[in-house]
Amino acid sequence: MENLSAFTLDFNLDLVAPAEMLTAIRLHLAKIAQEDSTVPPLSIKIAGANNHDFIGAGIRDVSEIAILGSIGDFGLCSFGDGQCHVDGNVGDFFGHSIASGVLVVNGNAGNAVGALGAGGLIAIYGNSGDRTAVGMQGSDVVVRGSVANYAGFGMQSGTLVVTGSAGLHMGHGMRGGTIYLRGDAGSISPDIEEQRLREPDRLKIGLMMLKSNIAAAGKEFRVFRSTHAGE
Amino acid sequence: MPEELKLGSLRCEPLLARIDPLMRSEAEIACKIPTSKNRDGLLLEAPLFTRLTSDANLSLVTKRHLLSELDRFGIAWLGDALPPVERNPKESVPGSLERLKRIAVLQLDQPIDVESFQGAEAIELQLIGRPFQVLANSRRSRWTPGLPVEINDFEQVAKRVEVLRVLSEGKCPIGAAVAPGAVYEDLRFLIDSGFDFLTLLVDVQFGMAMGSSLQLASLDSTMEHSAKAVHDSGTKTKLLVSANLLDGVSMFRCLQLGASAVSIDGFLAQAKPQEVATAKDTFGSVLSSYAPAVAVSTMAWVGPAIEGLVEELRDCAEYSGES
Repeated sequence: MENLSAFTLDFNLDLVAPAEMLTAIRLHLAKIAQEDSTVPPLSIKIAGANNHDFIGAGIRDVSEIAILGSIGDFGLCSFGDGQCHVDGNVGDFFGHSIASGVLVVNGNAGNAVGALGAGGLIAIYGNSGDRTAVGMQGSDVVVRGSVANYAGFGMQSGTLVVTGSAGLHMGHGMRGGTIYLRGDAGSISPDIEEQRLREPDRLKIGLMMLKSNIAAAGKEFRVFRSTHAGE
Repeated sequence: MPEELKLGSLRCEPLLARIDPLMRSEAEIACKIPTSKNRDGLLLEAPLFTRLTSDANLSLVTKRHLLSELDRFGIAWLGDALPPVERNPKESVPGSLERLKRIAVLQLDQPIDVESFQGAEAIELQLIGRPFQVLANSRRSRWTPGLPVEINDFEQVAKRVEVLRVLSEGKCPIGAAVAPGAVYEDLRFLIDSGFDFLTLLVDVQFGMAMGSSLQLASLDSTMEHSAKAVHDSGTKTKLLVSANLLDGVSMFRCLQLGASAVSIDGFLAQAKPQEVATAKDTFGSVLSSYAPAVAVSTMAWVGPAIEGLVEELRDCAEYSGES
């Protein structure tokens, strides 16, 4: 671990295990908090990702994280309060249990992106695998490409925006939340129904696109909501 | 399983194993489990735990009082950390709440919150219930075996365990609570997935009253299959058993059958004085739920009851030469 400047940490995961990195970050944050009650911004650069699992799991209160290379499963799990940019692909369960903050992925994502997420925003610039936003409970997920099967599976609340198309059984088991889809869906679950796109929907899509840095107009989307909402 | 391990008789150590207790350096208390707090095990001061703090809707005052008594005897409990105590000199809650053996609970459909693990001795994933459905604890379907909602492949469970290990910085043993279904197969799978300990919900107690329990499986067959599963897997996975064990002897038998710890929930429910259990039909009893001092006085039986239980367990351990 090399200390580049006062509040920038540089990790090489060829040399440090993800758990050790997490410990080092937590120690650093605790130290900063002891010295000053208002924690100054801390930024982290992570190199040597090499598809390792659990990279960035448990990192919170770090203002900016940059990960170079693709990461494996459960990346940035339980993330909160900050912004992270992954310059590569991500594996399954990326952003699992995200509480707040913004995660941006330059490449493709595996299955179950944003699973059980309770807040924050995840933006995938490529495509996303099966069960995108599974069991989501308040997060927002934006996928610039397409999503595979079972998008929004068991979603309780939150928003899934898909700029491309969706696979089979979109919205299966959905009990709340909203899916905005620009392209076509392979099949749509009877658990959701298409509704008329209203002005608040357009504004919401526009805002999420702006936050995700993706160019798309809100009026091009179709909106789907659960048929069981309020049950 | 050998005949001698069947429930119904206390198994005794042979005479040759009865070395003078004074010669045993590690014999501190009669019912201490020789485990260590690492990946292989779960450190519990006594082989007893309670799920009432998680499964029953106890008031904060009742919970505090119960926890202080559990703390006295080193009994582990499940649930979220209590809010900080407001220092009120009039509040007569005895004991210290500083060295509690808390097992943090993670439900099937609950996001992983690192903060909820803070100060916990262990983390237990509840592999029961239906995701996103709030069912009454008294309903059997509330305790249906199940996997986390985002899991659709057995191999992913192992990664789910590993991520919990990473998030807790490897400090907490990771366990799972399972309602016995296909006991042998389920346990082999969970052990292979890397869980450090497994809690078998043979009976569940969802309240402090006598009738507030559900039997989900037979204790004998569950213990037989689970002990075989642990043996066949070649690991040291600990088994915690939540069963309706009403006295020290039946708890000790269960420990002899392979359990590392047993729940005291059934015992507490039957040890509760009758007048306390049924005092819900007077204005005074209604008021008692709002008055901390009165609520505490109704919990005064807990300490002596647990003390008697621990004494009985020590007696059993001494009798069988396992002290």
